[in-house]
Amino acid sequence: MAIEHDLPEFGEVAAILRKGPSDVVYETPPDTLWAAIESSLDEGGGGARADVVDIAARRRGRLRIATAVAAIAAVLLVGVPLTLSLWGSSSPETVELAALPGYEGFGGKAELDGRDLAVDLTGAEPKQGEFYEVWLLDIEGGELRDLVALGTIDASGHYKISQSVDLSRYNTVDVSVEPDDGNPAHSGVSVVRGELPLA
Amino acid sequence: MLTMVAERYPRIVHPSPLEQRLMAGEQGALREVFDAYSPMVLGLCRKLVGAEAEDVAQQVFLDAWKSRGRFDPERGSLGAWLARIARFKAIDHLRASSRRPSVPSAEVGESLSVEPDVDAVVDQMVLTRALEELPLARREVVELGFYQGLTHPEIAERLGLPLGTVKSHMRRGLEALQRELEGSRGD
Repeated sequence: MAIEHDLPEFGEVAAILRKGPSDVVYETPPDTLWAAIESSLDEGGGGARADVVDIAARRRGRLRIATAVAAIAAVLLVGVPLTLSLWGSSSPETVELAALPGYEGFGGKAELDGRDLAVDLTGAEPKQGEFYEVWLLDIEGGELRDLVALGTIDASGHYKISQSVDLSRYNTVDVSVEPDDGNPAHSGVSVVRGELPLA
Repeated sequence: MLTMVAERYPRIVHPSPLEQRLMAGEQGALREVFDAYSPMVLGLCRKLVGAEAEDVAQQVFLDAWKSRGRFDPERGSLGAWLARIARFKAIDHLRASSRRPSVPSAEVGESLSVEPDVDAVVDQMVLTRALEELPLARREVVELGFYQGLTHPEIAERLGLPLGTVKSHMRRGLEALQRELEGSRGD
């Protein structure tokens, strides 16, 4: 098989993949399962009890902080005026993607509907050996804390954002230009960026 | 600034906020982990130990909380780590109960060991799940390559992508899957 010969270091992964998709069926747990876990934690003591009530309050607090931080970060990081235009206050949310210095003429928009992100990129003409990639950035205190790759893009793309990504933090859409060198890290060269309204 | 950050992240390692809260032992983090991952953990345990899946799943989450300090996001996602715990809890359970696992392997032979069966089930589920989490383009390339057996040029033609882009997607996709597989295994 050509693919295996091309990438021999992934032989075990390849062998497992060739078996096909897993037939494990996800199963909604009965209420008694969490109750049993919670009971065991209580018996164990040590303050490990998982309190459901606290979560919402903490999220609200984090959101307030994140809102302020993101507003500052947009000014500090991007360095160009970010044209943030929301068309309608309800879902889906649309934001313009503004060109970063050196990439004037680029633009686009991103539309978030639940966890579906649609990105349109304009003005982009990748050179031979390059491609564009869409990211979500987590910016806090004016610093980039983290980032997650969504996928490549030509002129437009649709991406499903994993449930593990907290959109109250990863709320900046970034498009980078990437060399086609097999390195999955961000190239450090962004062409457009825009900030989604916080969830 | 982004260049500096990118240098700090030679590989894409992005512990989720939930993973960070679990590692910090924050109040309520385990409940969130349970809400997000219990269908996967319970489904996996059902496959491995059958009717006693709830008991083993309970052990998985209790162990995840107790050993949260050992979770290393650079070695794989939280889902892979939970699958790792389930792997070992299921093996312990099956050894203790001296039962055969409920996986289709008994006809292979009379092996006394349950690990190969458990490992095969967990490995396959971890990679299936990791594949579903890949960005769409990478997922399509890997699925066409391994589920449908297409070559790189055939995938490029099917998706209308340059051959180099297909190879890049394949490598990045397989790297992500490799990382998840390693994260679901022991040291």
